[in-house]
Order: sequence, then C-alpha cells, then structure tokens
Amino acid sequence: MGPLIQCHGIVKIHRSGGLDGANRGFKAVDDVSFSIEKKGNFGIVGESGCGKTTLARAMLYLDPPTSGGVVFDGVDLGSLKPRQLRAFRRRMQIVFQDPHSSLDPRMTIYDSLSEGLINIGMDRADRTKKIGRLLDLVGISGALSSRFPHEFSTGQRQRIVIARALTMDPEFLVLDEPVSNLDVSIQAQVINLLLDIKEELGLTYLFISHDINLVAYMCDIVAVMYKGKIVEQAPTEELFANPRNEYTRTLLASVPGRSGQIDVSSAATLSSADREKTAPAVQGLSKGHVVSDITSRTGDKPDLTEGTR
Amino acid sequence: MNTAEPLIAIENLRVEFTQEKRRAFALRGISISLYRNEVHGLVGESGSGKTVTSMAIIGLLPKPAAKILSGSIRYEGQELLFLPEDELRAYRGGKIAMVFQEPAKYLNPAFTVGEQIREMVTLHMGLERSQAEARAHELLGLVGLGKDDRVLKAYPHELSSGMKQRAMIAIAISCNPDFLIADEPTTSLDVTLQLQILKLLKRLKNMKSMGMLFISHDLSVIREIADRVSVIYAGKIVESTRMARLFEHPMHPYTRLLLMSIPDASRKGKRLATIAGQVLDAKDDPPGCVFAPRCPMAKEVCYRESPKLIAHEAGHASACHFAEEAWAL
Repeated sequence: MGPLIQCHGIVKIHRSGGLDGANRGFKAVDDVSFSIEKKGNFGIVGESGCGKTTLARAMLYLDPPTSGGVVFDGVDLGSLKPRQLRAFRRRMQIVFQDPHSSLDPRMTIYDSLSEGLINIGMDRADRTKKIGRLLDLVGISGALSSRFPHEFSTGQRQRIVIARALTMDPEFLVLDEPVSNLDVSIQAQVINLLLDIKEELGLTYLFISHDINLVAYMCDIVAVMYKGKIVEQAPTEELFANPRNEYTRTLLASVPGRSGQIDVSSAATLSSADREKTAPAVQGLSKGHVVSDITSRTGDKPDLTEGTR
Repeated sequence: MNTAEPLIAIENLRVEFTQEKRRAFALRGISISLYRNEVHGLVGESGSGKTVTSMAIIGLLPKPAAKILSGSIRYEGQELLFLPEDELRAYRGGKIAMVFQEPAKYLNPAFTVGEQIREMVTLHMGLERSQAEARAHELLGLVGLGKDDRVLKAYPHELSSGMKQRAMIAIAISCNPDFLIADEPTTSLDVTLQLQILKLLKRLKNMKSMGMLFISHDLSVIREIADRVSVIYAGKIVESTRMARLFEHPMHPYTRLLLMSIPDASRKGKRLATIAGQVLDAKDDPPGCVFAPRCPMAKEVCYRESPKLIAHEAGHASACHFAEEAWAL
C-alpha cells in the first residue's frame, strides 16, 4: 500500500510584527518531512511547545505552511484553490483535545452533526439515518441527539466530537491529544473506540500526544518532535528498544512508571561521558529508522540519516 | 511495617458540600494513617475527593459550603478539626505545608520570590531580616535555584513553570515542615521536568525525614515516588497497601481494572480494560458499595451493604466484599 499523505519540508513561521516595525519570526515547525501509509497509525510525541499541533494544522492547510507542501493521495494540497480545498477537506478531519470548546454549546448534538451534511446537500431523512448510525458507532444513544453538549460528560462529549469528525466519511483523521482531558478509565473507552472505528472504517490516523506510553500502545510508527523538528522516527518497537537520539533517550528515561522507582542519585539528563558513549550511531540503523543528530548541532539543520538495512 | 505513631491520622472523615439545598457527598468516611519519612500516594480520578482530603488536613475547606459531618484528623495526637483559626495557623504553613498543581496560581504575583520566602520565615520562625535573607538563599539552593540572586529578586512571571514549581517547593519547606502535602505537583509539567521535580521532592523528604501525602490522578507518577498508596473512588478509600504490592496483587476490582486500563507498549494489540458506566454521582448516597454499579463482580450484597476497609493481609486493606477474588478478574 502506498502512502496516503506525504509532507515535504514543512516549515511554519509565526510572524509577530512588533509596533517597532520589526518583523520577528518564530519557526514553530522546521523542515519536517514524513509520510503516512494508507491505514497507517502514525504517532507524534513531544513536549508542550515543540510544534506538534502547529504541524497538524499546517498539514491540513488550516494554517497553510510557510513553505513545503503536502501531497494527499497524489494531490498537492498547496495547488488547490480555496473552493477545491474545502471540498477536499471532507477527506481529512481533526479531533482536538478539549471537547468542551469544540462543540457549540448552543447547538443540539443533532444540529452539530448535521452541519457538514447540510453543506453537501443531504436531505433530512438521510441525515437523521446517518447521524443515528454514527452515534451508535461511538456508543451514544441516538435518542440523546436532541440534547445539548452540557448534558453530557467529558468522555461522552469526546465521543460526539469523534462522531462529528466521521460525518463526512473521511479517510484521514488527525487526533490531537484526543484523550488528554479524560480520566484513565474513560480514556481507555475512547482509545478502544478509536481503534475499533479505525479497523471498521479503514481509516488512517495521525495521533498526536505528549503521553509516550499511549503513543507506544496506539501507533505503528512514532516520530519524536523537539523544537519544531522531527529528531527521530522509527517503527514503535524499534524506537523503544533502540533509541538513537539523545533527546529521545532523555524523553524515554523520563517516562514515569517504566523502570520502577526514581533513583534520587542519578541526574535527569545524560552526563557528558554518557553522551559520548551514546552519541547517535548511524551504523546499524534498521530500515525506517530515521535519526537526526541534535547533540552536535551547531547550525539549524540537522542531518537526517536513514538506515538501509 | 510502621509501628510508630502516625504523624497524621485521618479517621472516618465525612465531608459534604451544600449549595442551594443540593448536597454532594465529597468524602464518605475515609481513614488514612500518614507516617514520618514516608511518601503516601493518594490516587483517584477527578472528583474522587483527593483535593478535598488535602484541604481538610490544612483546614482550608471552603466555608460555609463544606461541612464536616464526622471524623477526626489528628496531628501527633492533636485534633486539628474545629481548632480555632489562630491555633491552626501554627500548623498550616509551619508544621504542615502544601505544594499545589499550578504554582502560578498560588504564588503572589506582586511580590518577589525572596519576599515570599522571607514572609514565611519571619511569620512562622520569627527570624530577623538578615537571618530571613540567609534562609531564603539557603532554600533556593536546596531546590536548585541558587546559582545566583536572580530568582530571589524575580517576580513569579519572570520564571518558567518548572522554576515556579521549585520556588513554591522552597516556600513550602521554608519552615521545616514535618509534613508536606503535594497535590498534583507535576501534572502541568512536561515529563522531563516532571522527573526533576519528583526527584527533588524525594530528595527533600529523605533529607528532612518529612512525611508526605502525594496526590495524583496518575498511578505511574505515584509509582515513582510513593512507599504506600491509597486508592480513592467516589469519596471512599477502596484499597490501601504498599506501592509494589498494589501492582502485584490488587485486591479491589476498581484498582484491578484501573491497572488494566493504562495503555503502554506491552499491551499493544490487546484491548484495554474499561470500566463501564459513570462515576457515582456525588448527590447519591447508596447504602452499598460505591463501585457496585460499575463493578463486573457485584452481587446482591454489594448493593445492600457498604464494605469496610479491612486488612486482608498485613498492611494491605481493601474495601470489597470479595477482595480475595478481585485479583482474578
């Protein structure tokens, strides 16, 4: 199966024109390239502010990238006219972290889910049928569709948001921290749901999270983002067994609950001696394992090396 | 394991909130014993009563909304509940200190970090200005902010979130507390920062032989730092044991399911366990077990009789009628 979506050198610069006329720019996403296979489950992990969400928004052209491009199923999104792009958006949807702010509090669930369907001219009977089916899929009784968002719990609301993302029959879903607001027991319900509908509808996922354990559970391929760049990317098992980049190692070592209790004596980051020892070795990289060297970074462009084994 | 007198003993504490004649049962009779030089983790989902517990200990429950129906909180034998405000103040901030989730909310934006530490030590320890100054220096050194005077003279907004949390920890330990309450102290931090703060707290605890109540919704964070752990659900402690034992042999169905619902790489390809239904509404006051409506093992007795938190093996208590069978779930 070929790639569904390919990103080439995406750069996103946030401009902040000061009153003094200075034109400062902040590179939130810096030369990011990757591709996601059809029906793949691609994860991006990184700490807050590393550019995860900005990258997702740029990919979907919600905030078009400053440079670089996205090819979706053979179509270059940058070449589309606004009207064409809008039609194309049906095929890719996004679910955000906070279901409280992504549902309109003054619209019933039915109306929220209807909006997109009305836009494509579906008649009421078909809409009702489709909405009932989608709500059923996410485990919300169709009888509740005349209710307002505040009448649902956070977990239910996130299910409704997922149902809404599915109304347009998308092929590609971006899930931006979709369970970070939920308690553990509710989180598990939503994760199971996401995996079920992926299987059932043959969807492709881009799963964004700060939670490394969750990404490891969900995704086939994981990319680690740091300061706007992908510093390492590999199949999940490979990344965890064999992290090459220093930041990835620090990140993995910081994940709570992986190695029993914390050792008060050791430092949080690697010592310089360790750094020597563990400097990313290009030798022996397996295929699909891409690593950039941030330890010896002097300029702003890391060298990416991909294994060929 | 602990034969000593507990530092803080909470017994059968019941707290309810009333607002416009609606009642909410926040704590439905909890008992926890907290010892010196021990980190006691309190884990539970949102609304389970974690923060209400900590607020009750330091006497900061909102009045008049919160009402303590029964129970006691003793500090080395001294009853803290219903203590007059001026006497309580000697404990709060002095012997008992607290670190919160959002340091930005609890640091005073109008004063420098140095001023806020000096205020504490002059108030509680009666230090002179120059002594207080020296103490502030020392404390910032302890929490890893002592390279120069920059932080001492900085206002909270000038610090990063990790530095703010360190500054708040410095203020909390400024008067050598015997007991520290840490309420989700790392929840808003990134993992790499989180690890640093956990290490700092554990180091300080060892150094000062403090007792610590460490509150979190995240069992894996508690696992890193706690010696003992209590699991709280809908205002009840459902299980309490040594940290390692909880993972080896959970004795309450809720704990068991909670452990199985945490995603990680080792569970890849397997479905996560889920807990059906919703958390018990705080308005409800059922006669039986608070977890019964969601429990896959619930039998008739569970709806009728509230199980007591009793030790099934040394130092391992579970509030379940079928505690012996729960692990096989």
